[in-house]
Amino acid sequence: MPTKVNAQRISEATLAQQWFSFLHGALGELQSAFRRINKTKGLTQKDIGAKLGMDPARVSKCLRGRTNMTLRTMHNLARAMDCRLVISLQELGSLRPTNRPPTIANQIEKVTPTGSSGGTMIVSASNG
Amino acid sequence: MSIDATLVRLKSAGRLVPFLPYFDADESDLRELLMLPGLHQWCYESDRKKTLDYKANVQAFLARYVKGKEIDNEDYMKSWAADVWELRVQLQPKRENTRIWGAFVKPDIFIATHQKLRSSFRRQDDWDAAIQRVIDELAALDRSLHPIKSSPFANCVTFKCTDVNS
Repeated sequence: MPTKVNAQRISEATLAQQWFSFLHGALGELQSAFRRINKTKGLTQKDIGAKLGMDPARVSKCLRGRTNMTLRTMHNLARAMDCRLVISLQELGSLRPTNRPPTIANQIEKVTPTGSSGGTMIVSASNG
Repeated sequence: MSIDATLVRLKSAGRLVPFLPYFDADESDLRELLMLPGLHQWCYESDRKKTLDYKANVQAFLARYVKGKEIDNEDYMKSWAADVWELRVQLQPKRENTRIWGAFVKPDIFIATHQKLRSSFRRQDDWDAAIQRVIDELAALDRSLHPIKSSPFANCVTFKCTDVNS
């Protein structure tokens, strides 16, 4: 017998925060990748713009998080940095609280909001 | 009274509220973000879909700091005079871009006092007023609270920090 799925509705506010966390995670990956590649290969925002036929000012805005980006733009920027934008699903059940880093200064353990029954989306920009 | 004891007292009295975003099971608060109650309320109040997304973006942006993700002292946050900082909320349209002001009172402990739209800063006086407000709000909380030195960045954020000035 399969275990019954928890069908409790996830609030719109929780989903929105998780979605923007995903986007900020992706932005952080792009920024780190750019810093790394800029340092090791000398790739500039101008080069990325030239590769994508994109205004360098727009590249700068994207990499600095000064504008909203679609997943397609994130993908294109990753490719221009010789990286691949990876999306994978990770089951939340596999995220063990025991692997959680210690909280600051002996704070009381925080209660994670309930209602998340699916997987978490991991995004990273990897070379190759 | 030590800074730690002062912060505990202010939190107990509800004069400072810890900002705690949504955590997955493998995440926790590795840095502390304390807010004045008004700002904390602003972060969470929303009445329709657009505001909900706007605030969710602000919360997710702040969560990067709290969850101990990589941050820098240029795009994520920037220091001003008197060791006051602004957190530069990202992934927002220019006209809606928010800046959250505050200061570190200990390494990895940031007190955020207020927020303002970037578009409302036009003259030097506007920045001076925002900086002064942070200093005044800290002093109003407790005379012993002072911003710590903003440079080097590692003096404020002790791990996963990119110091663009080094």
